[in-house]
Amino acid sequence: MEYVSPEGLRLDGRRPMEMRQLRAEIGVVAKADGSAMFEMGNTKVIAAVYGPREVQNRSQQITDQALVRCEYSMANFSTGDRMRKPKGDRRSTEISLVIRQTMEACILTNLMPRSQIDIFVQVLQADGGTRSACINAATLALADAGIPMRDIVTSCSAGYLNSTPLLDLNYVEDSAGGPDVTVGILPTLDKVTLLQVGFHLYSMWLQRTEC
Amino acid sequence: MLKSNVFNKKTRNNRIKKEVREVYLRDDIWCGASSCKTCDSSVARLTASTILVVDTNVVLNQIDLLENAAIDDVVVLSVVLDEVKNKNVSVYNRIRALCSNSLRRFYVFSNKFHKDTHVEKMDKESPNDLNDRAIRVATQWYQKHLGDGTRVLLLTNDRENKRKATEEGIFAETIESYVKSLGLPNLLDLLVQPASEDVNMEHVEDLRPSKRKVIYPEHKPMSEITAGLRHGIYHQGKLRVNRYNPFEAYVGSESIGDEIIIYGRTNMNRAFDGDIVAVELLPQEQWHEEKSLSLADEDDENEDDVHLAPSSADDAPRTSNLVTAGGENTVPSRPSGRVVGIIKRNWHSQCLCLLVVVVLPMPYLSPKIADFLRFGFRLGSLEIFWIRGLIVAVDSWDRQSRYPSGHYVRVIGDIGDRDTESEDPWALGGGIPLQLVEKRRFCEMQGHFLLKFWHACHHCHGPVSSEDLASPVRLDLRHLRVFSVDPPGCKDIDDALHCKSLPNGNFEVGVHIADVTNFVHPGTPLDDEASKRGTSVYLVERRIDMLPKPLTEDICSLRADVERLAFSVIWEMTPEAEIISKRYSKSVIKSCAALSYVEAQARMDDSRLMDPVTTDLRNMNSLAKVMRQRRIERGALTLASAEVKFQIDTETHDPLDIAVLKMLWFVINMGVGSAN
Repeated sequence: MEYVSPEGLRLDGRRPMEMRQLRAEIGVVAKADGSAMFEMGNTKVIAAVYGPREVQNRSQQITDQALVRCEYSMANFSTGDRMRKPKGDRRSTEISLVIRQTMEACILTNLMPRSQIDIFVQVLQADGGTRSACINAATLALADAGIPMRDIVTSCSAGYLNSTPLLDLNYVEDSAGGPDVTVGILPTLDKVTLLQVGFHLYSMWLQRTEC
Repeated sequence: MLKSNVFNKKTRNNRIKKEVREVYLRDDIWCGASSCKTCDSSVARLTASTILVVDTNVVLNQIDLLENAAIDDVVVLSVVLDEVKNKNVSVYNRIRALCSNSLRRFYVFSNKFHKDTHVEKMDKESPNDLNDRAIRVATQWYQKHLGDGTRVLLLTNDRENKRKATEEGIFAETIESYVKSLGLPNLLDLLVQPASEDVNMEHVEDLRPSKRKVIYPEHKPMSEITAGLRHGIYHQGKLRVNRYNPFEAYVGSESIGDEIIIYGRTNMNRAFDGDIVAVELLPQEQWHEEKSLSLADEDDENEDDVHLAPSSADDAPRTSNLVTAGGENTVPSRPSGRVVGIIKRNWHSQCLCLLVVVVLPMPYLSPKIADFLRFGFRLGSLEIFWIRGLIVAVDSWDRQSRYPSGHYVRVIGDIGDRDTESEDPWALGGGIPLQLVEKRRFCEMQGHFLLKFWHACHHCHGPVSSEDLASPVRLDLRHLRVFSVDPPGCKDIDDALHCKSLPNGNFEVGVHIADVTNFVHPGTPLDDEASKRGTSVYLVERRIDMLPKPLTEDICSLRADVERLAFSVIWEMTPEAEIISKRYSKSVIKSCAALSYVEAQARMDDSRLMDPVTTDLRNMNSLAKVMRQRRIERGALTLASAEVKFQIDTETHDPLDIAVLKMLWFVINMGVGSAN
C-alpha cells in the first residue's frame, strides 16, 4: 500500500512532516477543577482533573508528595464499531499508566504532600495518536486546574512508512504495521519525559530519519 | 483547509462500515508547467503549448500509445492514477514509470488535495461521474491557471464526459481524433480500436460497410451467468483449444465431471484459449453434429490460409484436422456446448501480448497480407512488407467482427537481407519466458536479440571472420586433430580436445572451449539477459536457452569440420601425466570429429581401429586414468551427477518415464575438470 505518494503527499493530503489540525479548549467540564478538550484531526479527547484534594484511601497517602492517579477510557462510540470491552482492558491500563507517569514527572508533587490529584481522560473519537492527544489534553487540564508544574508536556507520534518518516500518524497509517514512536517532551526544560516505541525500529532507519 | 471525506466501506467480514477520513486541501501543489509564473518551476515538466489531460480509460486502454515518445506534456491527475491502480496494477506501474521518467514530460497533479480542484461528492452521483467531474474541474482549472497562451486539451473517449466538457468550455477530443491531428501515421497503429458500441457509427461504416452483420451471439450479462451457474444451466470452466484444430475446444467442467466439447467459432463465441467461460450444453441431438460442423468451418477456413488460432498459435499440420474430426465421429459423443459468456479473459489480465508470426515464403507474401489484414488487425499504415513478426495486443472482439481487433505494439524483427537469411531467426524465439509475468519484457528482449543477431551476422560474415584469423592474439590451431566427445545428439558442443604425441615422447594435450565472449560482449542486452537466466534449463520437450539458439548451436558450437573460435589451454605432459608446461590462448580450431560417448568408447575398445583419432583417444584415456588415480589418492571427491533422459509418448508427447543414462566415465570430463 502506498502511504506516501511519489508526489510526497500522504493519504489525507498532508506532507510527511506536517501535523494534523490541532484544536484545544479548556474549561469544558464545569464541575472539575480543571478540564480540557483536545483535538488532533479526527482524534478528540477530553480530560478532567480533580485535586489536589484529600486522599480518599488513607492507606495510599504519601507523606512527602502528592498522589497522582489517572484513568483512561475510550468512549464506546469513539471508534466506528461498538467497543466490546469498555473498560479495564490491558491497553487502557497501560495507557493510564503511561499518562500517570508522564504527568507525575512534570507535576511538582512535593509541594502538595498528603494530597491526591485525579486525572480522567476519555477518548471521544479515535483516529490514531490517542496516546499523545491524551497527554496533551491532560497537561492542559492540569494547567487549567492551576496545579504547579515544571513545564507543559507536549506529545506527538511519528512513524516510518514507505521509507519515509511521518509525523502524527492517523488511524490508517497507524494500523499499517510500521514502527511508531510516541514522544513527550518538556519544551522549556528541553527534556524528554516519554518515549515509547512500538514495533521494531532499525537503527538504519533511525539514521535516515535524523537526516 | 480541512475537508472530510465520508464513505462506506465493506470490511473483510462483509460488513458495511462507515469511514471518515480527513482531507487537507493545499495551496502548494504546483501545476508543473514551465510557462507558469506563480508556481514553483523547479518541479515543472510541461513545456509545450498544448497540455494534455488524460481520462482514466485513455490511460487504461492506450498505455501503449502513451509510452510512445511522440506523446508528451501529459498531466496525469491523481484521481486517474487511483482509478487506474484499482483497475489494473500493471498499467498503473507503467504509467508511474512514465511519470518518473525524466526524459518524458508527464506530470502528476494531485488534484484531490488542491484547494481549487477538490470536488465533493454530490447527492446521487456515482463514483464514475464524480471522477469524470473531478477531471473536468481540474482541466478547467489548468486552462484558467495557465491563461490563453496554453491550450489544455482533455482526452477522453467517453462521449458523455466529452459532451459535458465541451459544454463547460473545455477543449476535449477523443484520443483517435487527437492522434489523427498529430499527423503521425505510425501512432495510429498503436491506437487501441474501441469496441464498436462506443464509436460513432458513421465512422465505422465508412471503413467496412459490408461487415456490419452480427456474427456472434451476444455474451450473457454477468448476473445472468452467475444465476445460470447456480441453477446448473451453465457450466464454468477453462477453455482449452485443441492444439491441432482451432475450431474445437474443450471446457473442463466440475459440475458435469466431464469435458464439454465446443465445435466451431460461433459456439466458441469469441473465447480465447485459457479464458474462464460459462458454457451452455447443446441439446443432445446436436451432440452428433461434430463432423459436419468442423467440415463447414474447414471450408470457410480454406480461403484464409493464415489462420489465427485463438490459442497459442501452435501450428500443427492442417491435415490432422480432418483425421481428428473423422476419428471422433465414431466415438459415442461427449456433451457438446456453446459459450454463453466469458467470466475472465485470459488476454486482458495477464498476457497482453499475442505473438503473431507471419512467416511466409517470399513469393507468397503479398497475397497473404490481404488475408492477414482480414483477421481484423487493422494495421493502418504499417509497412507490412517489412514485417516478420509483431507483437499485437488484443483489445476487443465485437459481435460484428469475425476476428478480434487489436493494436500493434511493436515489430519484433524484420526480414533484413534475404541472402543472409539461411538461418531462421525464429529459432531465436525458442526460449520460453522464465517468468510469465515478465512476458512483455521478454518479447522486447527477443526483439533485441534479433536485431543484435542480425547486426552480428552482417558485420562478421559468419562465425569466423578474416579479422579473427589475422588477429595476433588468436592462435591458428586449425591444423590440429581436434575432436569433441559429448552426449549423443548434443548440439551445443562447448568443448573439444586434442592430444598429440611429441617427438620427445611427451604428449601435447589441449582443451578448447567455445569462445562465446567474442560474440556476447559484456553489458549488451544479450549479456544482460543471459546473466539473468544464468544457465540453460532443460525441460521435457524444450530447453530454455541461456543464449539464443544460433549462438549455442551454430556459431559457438564446436561442430565437426567447421572453423570455430575457441579459447584453448594446451599442456605438455609426460606419459606419467606430469604437466611440464601450459599455455592459454584464444584460437581458431577446426574439429575433425564430434563423437558421442558411446562412439568414443566403442572406438577405443575396438582393437582393430588404429586411425589417428582413436589413437589420440587412447592416449588421452590413459593419461586421464593416471590423473584420476592420482586425484583419488590425494583424496578427491567424486561427485556423481546422473544424466537423465525422458521417454516421451510419441502421440501425446507426455513424458512416460525418466531413464537415468548409464554414467559414462570418460576422459573428457576429467580433461575439462582440470581445464576449469
